[in-house]
Amino acid sequence: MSASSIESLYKDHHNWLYGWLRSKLGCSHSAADLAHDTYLRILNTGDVPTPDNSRRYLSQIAKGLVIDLYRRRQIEAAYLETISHLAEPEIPSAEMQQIIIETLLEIDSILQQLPGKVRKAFLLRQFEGLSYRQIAEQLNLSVSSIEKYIAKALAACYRAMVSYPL
Amino acid sequence: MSSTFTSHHDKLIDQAASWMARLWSDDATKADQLACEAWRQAAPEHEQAWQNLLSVAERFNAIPTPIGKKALLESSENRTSRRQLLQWLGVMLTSSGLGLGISKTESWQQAFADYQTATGEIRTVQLADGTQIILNTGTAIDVTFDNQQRLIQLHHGEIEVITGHHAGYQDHDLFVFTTHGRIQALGTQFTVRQNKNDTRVSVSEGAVEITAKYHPAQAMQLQAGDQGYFSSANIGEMEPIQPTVNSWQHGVLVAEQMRVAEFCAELARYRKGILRCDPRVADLQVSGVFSVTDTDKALHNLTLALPVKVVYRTGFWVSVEPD
Repeated sequence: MSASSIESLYKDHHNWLYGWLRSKLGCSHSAADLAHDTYLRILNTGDVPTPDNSRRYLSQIAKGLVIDLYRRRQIEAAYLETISHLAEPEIPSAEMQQIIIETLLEIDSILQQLPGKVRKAFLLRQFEGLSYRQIAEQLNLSVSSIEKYIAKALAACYRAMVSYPL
Repeated sequence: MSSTFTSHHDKLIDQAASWMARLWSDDATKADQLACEAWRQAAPEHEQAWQNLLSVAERFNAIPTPIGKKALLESSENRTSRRQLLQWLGVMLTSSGLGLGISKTESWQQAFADYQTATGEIRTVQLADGTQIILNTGTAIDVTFDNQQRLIQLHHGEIEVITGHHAGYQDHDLFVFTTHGRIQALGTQFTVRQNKNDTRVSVSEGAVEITAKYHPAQAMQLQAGDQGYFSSANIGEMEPIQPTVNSWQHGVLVAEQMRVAEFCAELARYRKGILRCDPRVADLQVSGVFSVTDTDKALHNLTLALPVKVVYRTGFWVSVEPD
């Protein structure tokens, strides 16, 4: 990647990208942030598209970021709503809140890569406290499938969350 | 990294995950436990894989169950899928290129109904339920409506809320969230201002209920004419509403024996750049009606009322000093 190619990618298309994001988000702050993040991601990966592909490439990256932002807001809203119903001793501290929201986002993006039934089985065990048998009944599957699904979800989380080698 | 190594590594992860899934089962036996232990002891890398997986499980367990349930389980059932979102973004890309006005899907309108004002700007927006929101200078809100409630997140600044009751929304509770807690509307008109350390709520009509973020068991109702402050930790004393609290909606700042320091801090909200108040004039008091849409004029009028002068270092750096 040459400095001039990223520079022209910025000069030629930043305004367009910003405008596009603003029309999607209806918010110029978020649009400016995401446009910035889009270029940052290109800088980090070093992949600069060919000139005739620039806008398609930029919008592809930006779309991913829009969805992440959308998901973050959903999770934050769910968090705030839930703590508003909790009794005081159960409410996490401000520091914990940040950790919990980041972990929720991380888990969510990992589980999104998995088939729906695997995800559902794992979440039902973790957050509803259901047994494999109860999950099997709810999803209309065999108990042995549920055990396989749980193993699959655990392995996926391991691969995404543990970076150091064995 | 060789491919042999990768597949060996992958195999260990799968094995550790299978063992854990086995032990979590309701019919896990003593024999299963012993077999798992034997596997762990068979090689140091087995034990390491097991420990790594335990640390992953601990991260899940750190999430309080009701929060995980709401954020991951329930929302995944009725949320728009990633594919649908991508499709929507693709459609919007093409159509905006052609200049066609295709309306957003409902969930997107809900999720991205963000509004904000620049410094010095005052703006009124109307929401889908008929609720009217007036945003004061330097304000940003997110609006999220779902099929049970209406959530307004005040990121910063000040808003006046006049609740609407369009068909289909009558049963939906309306909440304003700030950094410090939440305000529930009880059929009403009220103003919320988020300061650095607290949130101020002033009720003009109806009533609201305020709850501090870390004190949810203790809620307080404010009736029309009441004004209250709350921080994340607690709710302060109630006081009568200041009649001038909403004068910003008419583009003016009404000062009644207001300290010049406070006057400058107030005016600075409507002005780009730095507005500094010299400590030597901070305690002087001023009364009058000042424009917030033309802050230069307001500053000039201050010099007519008090023995102060306004020094323009640049347009963006102004200070109020003794004359």
